[in-house]
Amino acid sequence: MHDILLRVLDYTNTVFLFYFVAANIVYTILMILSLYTVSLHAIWARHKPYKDLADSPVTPPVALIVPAHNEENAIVQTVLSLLDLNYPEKEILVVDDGSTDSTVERLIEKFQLRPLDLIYRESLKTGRPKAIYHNPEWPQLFVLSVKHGGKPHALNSGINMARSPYFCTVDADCIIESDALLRLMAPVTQSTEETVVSGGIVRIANGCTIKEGRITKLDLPKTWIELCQTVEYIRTFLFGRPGWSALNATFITSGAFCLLHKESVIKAGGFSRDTVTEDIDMIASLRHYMAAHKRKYRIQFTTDPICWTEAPRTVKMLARQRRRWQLGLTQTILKNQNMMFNPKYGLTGLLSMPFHAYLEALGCVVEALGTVLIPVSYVVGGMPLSMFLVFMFLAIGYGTLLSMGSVVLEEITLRRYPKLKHVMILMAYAVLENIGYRQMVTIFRAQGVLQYFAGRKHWETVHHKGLEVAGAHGN
Amino acid sequence: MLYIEDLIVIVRWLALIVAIIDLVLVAYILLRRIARDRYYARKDAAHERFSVVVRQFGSGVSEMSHTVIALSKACTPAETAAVQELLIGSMTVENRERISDLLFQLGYVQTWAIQAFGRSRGKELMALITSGQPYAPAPKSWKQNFRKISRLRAFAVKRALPVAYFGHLAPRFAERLLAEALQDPSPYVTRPAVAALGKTLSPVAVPILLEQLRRASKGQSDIPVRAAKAALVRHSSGNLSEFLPFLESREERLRLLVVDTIREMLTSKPLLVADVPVELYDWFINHAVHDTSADVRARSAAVISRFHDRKSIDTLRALLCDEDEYVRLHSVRACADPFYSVMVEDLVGCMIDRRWRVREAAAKSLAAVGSAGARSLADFFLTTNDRYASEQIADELQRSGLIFQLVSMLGTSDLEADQAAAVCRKMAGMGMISLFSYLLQRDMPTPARNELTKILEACSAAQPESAGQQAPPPDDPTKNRTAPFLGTAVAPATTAAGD
Repeated sequence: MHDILLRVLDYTNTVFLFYFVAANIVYTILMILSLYTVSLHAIWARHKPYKDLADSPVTPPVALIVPAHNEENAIVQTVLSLLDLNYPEKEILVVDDGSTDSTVERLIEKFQLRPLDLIYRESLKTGRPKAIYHNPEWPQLFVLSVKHGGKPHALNSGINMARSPYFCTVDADCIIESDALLRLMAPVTQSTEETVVSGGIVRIANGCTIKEGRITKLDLPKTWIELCQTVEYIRTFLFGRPGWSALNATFITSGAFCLLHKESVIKAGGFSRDTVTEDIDMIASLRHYMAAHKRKYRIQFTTDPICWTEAPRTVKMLARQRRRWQLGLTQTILKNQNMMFNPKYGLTGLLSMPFHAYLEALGCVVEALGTVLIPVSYVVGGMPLSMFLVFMFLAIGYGTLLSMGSVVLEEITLRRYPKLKHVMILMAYAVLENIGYRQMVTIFRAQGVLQYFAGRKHWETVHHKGLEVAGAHGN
Repeated sequence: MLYIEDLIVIVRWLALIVAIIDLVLVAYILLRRIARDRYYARKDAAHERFSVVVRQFGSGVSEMSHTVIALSKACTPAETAAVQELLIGSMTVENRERISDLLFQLGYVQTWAIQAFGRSRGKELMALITSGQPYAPAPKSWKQNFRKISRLRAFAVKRALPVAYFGHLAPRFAERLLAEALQDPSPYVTRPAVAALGKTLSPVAVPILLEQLRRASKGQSDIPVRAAKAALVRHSSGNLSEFLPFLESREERLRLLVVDTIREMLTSKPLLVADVPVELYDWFINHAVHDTSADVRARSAAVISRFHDRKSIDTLRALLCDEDEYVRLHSVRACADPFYSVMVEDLVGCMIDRRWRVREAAAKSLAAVGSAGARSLADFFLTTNDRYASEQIADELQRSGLIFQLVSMLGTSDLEADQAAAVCRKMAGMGMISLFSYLLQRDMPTPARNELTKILEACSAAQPESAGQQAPPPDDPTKNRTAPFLGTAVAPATTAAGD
């Protein structure tokens, strides 16, 4: 019996070893590509090409669509930050997705909104909103109150109401930097190909102080879980996505802050309710549509338009968030599996999809099993110390290098953290997050994959406490 | 042969290497922070030290020779960066020539040119500028064999940075440098060169940019159409004669882009009709309306509307009757100007257009042409039986805030109080009572409240069969405020059908 167990462990350990080696090789290639892209973009951005867009009549108008479900703590600050955006022509459409708290009331009170009976035309099937609120004194702002139908439904309602050729999805708990929309639009105006999506990066705002929709004091969060997420976000957005963007093979952009071409989205069928990560699904739908119509296009990811968001503050909420993301990724990949290894989709089909399927979606199950089985294997004598250390190095040691590298890249390019103390803390957590935090997140992600195979279709709600607002309540 | 026992040694070494790299990265950050702090401290000091000199030179108080001596003392990278920033920041239309000359004499222009074009070519261009000779492209050399490598972003980005500075210089310096930048194989250099050509505001740049636009329209260039347009739009309408040959092009797309550029130029700046060349005026008044491309006709409307004369009225009238939806749409939008209040009747006619975009634009334009337009909008609203036109007008009354003025007139002795009441009555009859119900729950003058109450009561009495259709779902946040009348309203007509 013991021999059989050892034999099984031997085989599984070989699988784990191949997985870890392959994953680290791919991550290293992505890291090099990202380093190249991000550094050059940082140099290129020195002459601030986006500044010309601010006063150019040629800059396309943008509708900012904010789906909100029970966001009473954050919504006013978010809207204030959007009103304050430096952009020549914008409309702000807050879509209240059947909130049961006072999300709408807060907005009505702050902006003196009145219910109006405005025309609502359905380019995408959504049904008429329950109410539309507007105040001519804030001509850019409209609030739509719709029956609870989920984020995709809210986004589609916003698209129906939008008049601009581009729209930008913004999460209701996000603070957008003043020039971020201009920076997000810059790749669209500078490209000879049609740019249907332009994604920006998301940072953690926990610990920062906010006033009138602006971050007035940039600080790091206090708890380990939030600090680990801060490093994790930096790593994900600076070491990974820019690499795929350089290959024009972006498969994931964060729906928290993403610019999309309205007509293309409508023709691609709008946001779908088939998955719980409508943002990833939208990218896949657009790729399908563009490939089917043989249109030349780009899906761009840029590292300097920054959106600040609130991260989960407890392990329970973090677990829910990560399970949801993983469930959505798995749903999207399996829904669009015909893209896999399909040259019709270019490098997205040949490289990006297999990477996201095998390393990002299903890989976490292997990684989670490895996290549990490798120590067990060592303890029961199924693995020599030397092999155990190899695994530890691959799982932890190399990870610290990636995380440290991303913090350094942040410091060289974006430099959002003003104090040396901040950077040192981040570097410390770049090491520490690899011991415990990453393994924990891997297990949550694996649970997400299992949820998919167990037939789960809906997401778990993540509750936010709300960001720290300077002065009274900020509302 | 690698034995498993050896792995422990390898892992130990690997872990050590990772730890060392991590420590090196920490040290790098520390040193970089210290270096940056020093750099910015020096730059701030230089800003303070040289700002008076630059200000005096910019305002014409101090001489070139004195300023050159004073600013030559800036020699560290932080100091030169500060001086460059100060000089570029203090440029105005009046002193641009002098400050450009100063930048040239201080050697900054040469440094940028060398950075962008290489040492020998940079110096050649400097010689051309000094001698006042026209620009001549570089003769063929072995370096051109490496154009594909030069296209790579890694090599191009550093060449692109100084190109952005050229746009700030006076045309005498900028023209030759930017002409050279446009020859660069990389789009990372040519794109900022096009943007910089826009900033020079030199008439010489206009034909170059138009040529870039032509090439972009055919997909023969790395310059996006939008970038070429944005650069052209910066130029003044005094250069419009350069556009004529392109308006007569046989390519529809090029004509469209040129007309659209003129439109953007004229809408972003005040236009002096005297600036418009006769031929160009003639093209828009007599030819644009018959252009084979509907897009060209559509975009021409906005240009024509800027002429503000009798002929423009006649031409716009003709365009309002165009068979193409987008021509009518743009023509209606072009009339959103008090000068075209004489066209109110024509705009009212567009309220029953079969396309909703045209109806929407007509309502907006009527609201924008002034009181005559607003009155006609209200009159038409009261007399029309067209459902879609009524919905569109009601939408505009609410969006523009006109409805609040109308409500405030209710029950007063205002001459238009009756008309205001009639408008409110019709809106209530169409089921558009959300705002009225809301207002009744708020503070409002008693006469207006009484009148509004009367209107809503009359409306609910007239249509009892529709009761309940407008009732909001139980979780509607407005339900408490709208309760008195919601139960008796007709179904809202706000999801407009019609295309």
